[in-house]
Amino acid sequence: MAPPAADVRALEIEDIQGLILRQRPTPYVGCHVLLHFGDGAQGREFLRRLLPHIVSASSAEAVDTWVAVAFTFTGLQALGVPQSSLDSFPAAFREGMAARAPSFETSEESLPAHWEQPYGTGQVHTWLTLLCVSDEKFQEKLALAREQLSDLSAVRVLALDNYEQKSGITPFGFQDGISFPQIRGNVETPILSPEQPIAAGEFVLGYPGEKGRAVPVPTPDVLGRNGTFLGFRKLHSKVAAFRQFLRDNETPRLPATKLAAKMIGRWPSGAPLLLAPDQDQPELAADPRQVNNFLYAGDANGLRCPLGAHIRRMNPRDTELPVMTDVTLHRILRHGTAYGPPLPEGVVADDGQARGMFFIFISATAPETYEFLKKQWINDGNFVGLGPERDPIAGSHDGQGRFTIPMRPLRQKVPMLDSFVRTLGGEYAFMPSLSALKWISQLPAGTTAKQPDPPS
Amino acid sequence: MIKPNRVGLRSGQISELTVIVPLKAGKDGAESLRQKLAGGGQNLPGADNVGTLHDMRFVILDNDTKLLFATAYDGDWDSYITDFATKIPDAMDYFFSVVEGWPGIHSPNVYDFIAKYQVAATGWYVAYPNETVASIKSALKVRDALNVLFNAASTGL
Repeated sequence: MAPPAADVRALEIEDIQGLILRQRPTPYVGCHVLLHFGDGAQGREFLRRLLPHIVSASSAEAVDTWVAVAFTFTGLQALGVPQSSLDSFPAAFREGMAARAPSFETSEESLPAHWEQPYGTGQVHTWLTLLCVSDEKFQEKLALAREQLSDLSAVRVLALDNYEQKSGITPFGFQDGISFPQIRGNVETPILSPEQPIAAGEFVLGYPGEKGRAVPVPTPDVLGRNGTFLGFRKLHSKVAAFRQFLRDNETPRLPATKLAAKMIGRWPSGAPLLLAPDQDQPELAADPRQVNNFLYAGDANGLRCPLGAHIRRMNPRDTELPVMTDVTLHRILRHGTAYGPPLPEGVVADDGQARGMFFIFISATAPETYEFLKKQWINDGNFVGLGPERDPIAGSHDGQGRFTIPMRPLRQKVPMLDSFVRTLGGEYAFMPSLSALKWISQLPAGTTAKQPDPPS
Repeated sequence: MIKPNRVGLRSGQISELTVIVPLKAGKDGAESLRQKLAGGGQNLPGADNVGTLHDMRFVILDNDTKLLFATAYDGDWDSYITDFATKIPDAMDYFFSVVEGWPGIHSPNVYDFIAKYQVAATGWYVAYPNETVASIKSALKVRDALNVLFNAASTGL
């Protein structure tokens, strides 16, 4: 069936930030930065200086440096975005991730009361990423950024975390960031997959969503259109606990590496269980024509890839689900990066080091979509017929959980006692178009709303 | 444990939603709904595909001016409403177009519209609060398979 004509309106790629539509250049070296604007005028001045460096989806190929920027709700307030515009943003974004967290965080340790500063305090105004093709270039740009900030004392750096391409491996030792939704009409075709492309409006504001769905666009049009929403979360990975779990639960028919692969849905190399059910096949993982080129049609029972495996939960593809679901509405663009030193191989005792993932996700409905995924597809299993069973790797486990692994002659149920991931903080942010960034940077002085005092 | 789910009650995995909404006047309201639901005693075709509905009840009240719609379903009521809106938009609008002011299933205001007319139950009983429609279907599959097995095994006795 051909999509309706309105669905194929050309994407205004010169106005859309590159990170939304393009794959990062490889190799890359970069950092995430969280900023606070103590003063609206200085914030807007910072934005004016930043603007020439923001990469659009049309220029992304030609440049050696990518800069992308997004603002939290308090950030938009600090920059003086008028109240009528602020009111036009969706409730989840206005309330912020910390205020929403009790509705989707099910374990005590992941609640905002235990988050790291500055997350959830209202102090984070901007998320910015700087990404370069070489370390040399990165250092050069970082020096330039510091110089540009030197006379803007009210623009404070709250956190700066470096990353590089090898951080595409998760702390648990698995290749990440393989699957990337294909956006209808996009300039770039992501890695080969038999899945249908998804309407641009699911990822960029101002375009039709899937099957007539209208995604509300913040006003005025220049502010909302060609923008999107982004969420970022700092996660701690309990690698030692994960390895101990594998040791405690491995069996001759399910050795540790295979058990881990059953939990994720892919082997450490990234080879999917659907195509490589018995052992890792790094050569398959290295082939972009194969590594994401699969559906679940022949595996309705999950004998290859369990229905409860992480990647099958997060993107069930063509899996027949017992609950009426449109899988195209729940996709996110992921840009995760790992932090911290890897736990040396074979170590099963916690070394106390900080390590985990910065999980970054993009969608025109990022806050709502993330909360849906967390509540329905990570911390519940009803949608795949697994009752209250949770995602084995990303779910919160409280000692009662089970992970079902379909096998012949009999399925195995592994007790899930502990969570392997803890939330250390996070924010929702709005990622404006290039013209919206210009519009914000030119807002008149004196409209800045008073900043609420940070919670003590 | 029963806890509020927006306005409705929730018991285990199951929630109740009760709304009392104004019906359009004349032919487009109660009369139209009666026609759409003709054969009332039977199950509504298509409702089974939703996969989370335990029951649905349409009651026309107050001299054809109001509709009481009550349902028991799995999970949170607004989680999958966008999915219904893209999967079965016509079915949703088909039944609810008899409601005065129905904004249409694609409207971003549809959640607020429903919430506005929602009335929480004062009392509610659920026999199996932790069994969802999906888990019941899967348990029945196991029962049927066991019966096949037992039947086969017992024929030799």
